[in-house]
Amino acid sequence: MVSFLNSKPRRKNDRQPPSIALRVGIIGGMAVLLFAVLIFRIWFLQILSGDQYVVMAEDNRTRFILEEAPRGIIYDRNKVPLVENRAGLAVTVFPPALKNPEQELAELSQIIGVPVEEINRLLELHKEDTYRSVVIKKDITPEMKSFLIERIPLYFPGVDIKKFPLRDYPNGTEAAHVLGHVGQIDEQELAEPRYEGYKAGDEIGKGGVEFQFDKYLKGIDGGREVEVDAEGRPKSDVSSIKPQSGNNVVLTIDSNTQKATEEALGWGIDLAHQKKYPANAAAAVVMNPQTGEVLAMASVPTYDPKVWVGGMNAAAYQQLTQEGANDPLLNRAITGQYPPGSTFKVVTAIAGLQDGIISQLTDFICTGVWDVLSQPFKCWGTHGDVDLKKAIVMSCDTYFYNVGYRFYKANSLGMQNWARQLGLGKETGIDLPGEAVGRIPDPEWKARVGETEVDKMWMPGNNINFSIGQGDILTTPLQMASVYSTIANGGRQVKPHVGLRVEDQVTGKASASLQPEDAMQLPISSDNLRAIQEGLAGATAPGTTVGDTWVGFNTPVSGKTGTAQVSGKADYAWYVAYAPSTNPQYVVVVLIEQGGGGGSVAAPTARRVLEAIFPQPPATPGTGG
Amino acid sequence: MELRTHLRHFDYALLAAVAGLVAYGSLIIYSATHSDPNLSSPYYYVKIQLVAALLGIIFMAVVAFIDFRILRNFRQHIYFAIIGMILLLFIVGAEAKGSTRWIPLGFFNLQPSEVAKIGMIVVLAAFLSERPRGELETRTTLSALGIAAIPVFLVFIQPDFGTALVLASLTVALLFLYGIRWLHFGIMFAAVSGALLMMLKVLPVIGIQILKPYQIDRLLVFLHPEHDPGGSGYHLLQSKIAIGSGMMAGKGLYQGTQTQLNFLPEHHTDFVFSVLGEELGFIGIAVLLALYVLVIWRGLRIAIISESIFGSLIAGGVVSMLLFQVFVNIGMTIGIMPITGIPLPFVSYGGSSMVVNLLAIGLLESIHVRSRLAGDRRYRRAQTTA
Repeated sequence: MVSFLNSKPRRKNDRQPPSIALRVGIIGGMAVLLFAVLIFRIWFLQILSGDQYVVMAEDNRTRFILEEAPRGIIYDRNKVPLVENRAGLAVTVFPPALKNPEQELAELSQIIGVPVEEINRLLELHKEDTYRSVVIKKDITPEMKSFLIERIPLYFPGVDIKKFPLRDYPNGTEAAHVLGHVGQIDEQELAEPRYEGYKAGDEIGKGGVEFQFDKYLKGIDGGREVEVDAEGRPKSDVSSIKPQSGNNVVLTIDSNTQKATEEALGWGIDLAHQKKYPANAAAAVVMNPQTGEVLAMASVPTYDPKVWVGGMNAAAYQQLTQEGANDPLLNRAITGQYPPGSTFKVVTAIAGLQDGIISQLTDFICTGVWDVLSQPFKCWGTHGDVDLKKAIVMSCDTYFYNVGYRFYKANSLGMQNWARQLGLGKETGIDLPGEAVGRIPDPEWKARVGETEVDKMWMPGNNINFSIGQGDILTTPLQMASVYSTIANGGRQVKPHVGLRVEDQVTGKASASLQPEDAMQLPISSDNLRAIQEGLAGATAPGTTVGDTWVGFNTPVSGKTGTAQVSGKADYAWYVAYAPSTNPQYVVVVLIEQGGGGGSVAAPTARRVLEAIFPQPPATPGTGG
Repeated sequence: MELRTHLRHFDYALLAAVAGLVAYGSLIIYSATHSDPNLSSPYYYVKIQLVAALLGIIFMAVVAFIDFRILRNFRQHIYFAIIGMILLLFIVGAEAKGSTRWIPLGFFNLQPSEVAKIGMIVVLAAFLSERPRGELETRTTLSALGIAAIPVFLVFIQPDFGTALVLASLTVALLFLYGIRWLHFGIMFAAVSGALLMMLKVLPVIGIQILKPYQIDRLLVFLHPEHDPGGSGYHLLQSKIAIGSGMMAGKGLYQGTQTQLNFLPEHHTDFVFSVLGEELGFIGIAVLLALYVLVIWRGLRIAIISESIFGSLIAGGVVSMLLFQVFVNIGMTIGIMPITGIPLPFVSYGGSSMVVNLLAIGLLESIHVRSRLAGDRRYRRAQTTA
């Protein structure tokens, strides 16, 4: 090759041949062609598709930093805060700014402990909202914040940390079931009409008051539109909107009563254990019978709503829902359904009196066994000559067997009708989600659910069992609170509720009342009601089913025990009380699952609740049979 | 006398077009870099670019005043100097983005591959202009290819794929201008296609990597830029967004968000055209392309009016080199050419490229002056005979 370079000029005449002009011309033609290609392509980009690229350039440079509005505060009736907010830190991801998404998200996942699949799920949820950062982990520690902040510019261009308001529970587990918790809205919820106007990533109430009053508690999110550079560093604000806090909700709950009630249930379960009962769950309601305001509502076992703050982790959720945990998430006061036992006898009495099946003077002989039918029905005692008042005072089963049998013979569904009129077998309408309806069995129901021909038939025994709140009947503790409220207040059916009013978070002024519409007067004669009230007042005296529970209690209390039999389980202990006996202000319902006798376990528990309301001179209450 | 005649015979349209490109490029480089917070002065890059341009103008002037024909005598020196510089690069070169490109000279980073472009034009033009046409044609083609192969290969393994392509393309252009047989072009085309196929598709599969993987990514991503907005395709996508969003009149100088907020990568070097497209729009691009058209037209005109075939080949080679670089660079920013890292002549930031391109313009001017002087002589002869 060097020889080629060295070769002597072979062409002496360096004058160019004419054909070179043609070749140069061809190169000129190629130049025209190539420039035409460039011009056409640039025309296509800038003129024909320009608008689309302008949008892409805008999306590139602007980013919306959402500022979540804090939810409203939830207070008890005395403005004691039950749920507050605290400033938390959240990790966000802005997908378009990721340089190498797969690798960066995998590394981030390792640091913050959120599985990659979960991060991808969250990003997928927001994929149409390319303009906004997605919160992928809430409530990180300040240490993690400083760890991440150092690494963001180099390793995580699309990741950011921002303030995020988080729920805080100053009283721990208190009223957990009433309050509920918050969590991120999921895809199904987004599709529901209830959540119209909500956006992916919103925190919503997932139960209890948080769910029920979400529209008041939820604020209006604000945010800043900022110009960012390629590394995601904000350069300047384009615009900003201040977030508006949600409104505060004041509940009817009285924090002191709530505490006392929860404490009493724990005490009652211990008491049941002392009496060798396997009690493992309980519920209680304290309600104002005149207004339906719920002062306390407790359910055992309970849970700490804190576990949901910043996103529930799978292990904690599994722990709460595993078998043996006994459903701590369940609010047994409104979703637990139990046979009411003897507490139901007042309904049988009202039905009998109002339908003329019995009068206040009607009496029956109790020999301890009622054997009119081939199958004998036992009474818990032997009460001799029993009229209505004594029947209630002594909780005589025989008396109510007779009433039930009379209804059967009259071919009347009066007991069922009155049970329903008093609010059983349907929702009370309390302002809490998930309320159970219970069950009022009747021939139609039996025909529907019975499997065999015999099962489908309504037998006299069904009516007999029903008359004492046994058999297929199911009620919730709240329903029983409602029934006794009607008796206590003179026949008005009040709607139980936990919401009192909504207050503006800034001005503190009431912006809406949450009180239900006026109570409905039931057609029960006041004379009949008075007879039942007298019976209930007498049923708290020593020597009745409550023993000496109320000895020394200086406020007159009316009440009724219930000891419900559930097949395969120990007896369920019920007690329903109201106080003071005249012009009652409090109805207390206590139910202890497998707690044994209503009089021996549930009644003393109810006394502990009422002791918190009516301070008593120090004395140990007895625990009779 | 000599100087005045010289100045009279300069191609001033060509000079004006080049001056326009240099000024235009400096303005865009200023816009792209003035807000960089890491710079000691907002004029940092523009100053260096203008110093390089000044240096280039001096080289251009020197070359324009000497008779280009004496370069024929130095073809061996030039050839071995090129090879020597590239080899030196492997010993003392500075790494940048996975390849070795510069020889640091203290005040200046010399890029041998840039020098190789103009050097190879001169060497190949000198060689070809001495080969008789119509004889030993195959030997001429093979020899020319052999001469070109060594520097192309050395640049390729730096690796500087873009410049290797420029060298290869200007070799083909010179062979075309010289007038080798069409059959030779057919064989070369087939060989190049086959080699590319082997390099990109076949050899990587069996584990032989001639190109580094990032090079293959960059080469092929322009076909599907949306597939990889975070990696190689990201640059291209950002470039297209920048140009597209400039629309007819642009966002205004210093107003391009893609440029000023750094979404656009390498916005003062390889992607300087995207800055222009974003900030000055289609109109600004049209002005730039018009300047290039002017340069190419004047260059081709010089190739035709050259009295010597050596001059024609040099002029044609320079024009082909510029045309190829303009097309590949702009094509890269708008997604019709692979991303190869070829600078935009006279506009992209880069001292070596600026100096070499201006030197090439000096050669064109020298050829222009010689042919005009020859014209003068013919005119005088005609006068005397008459």
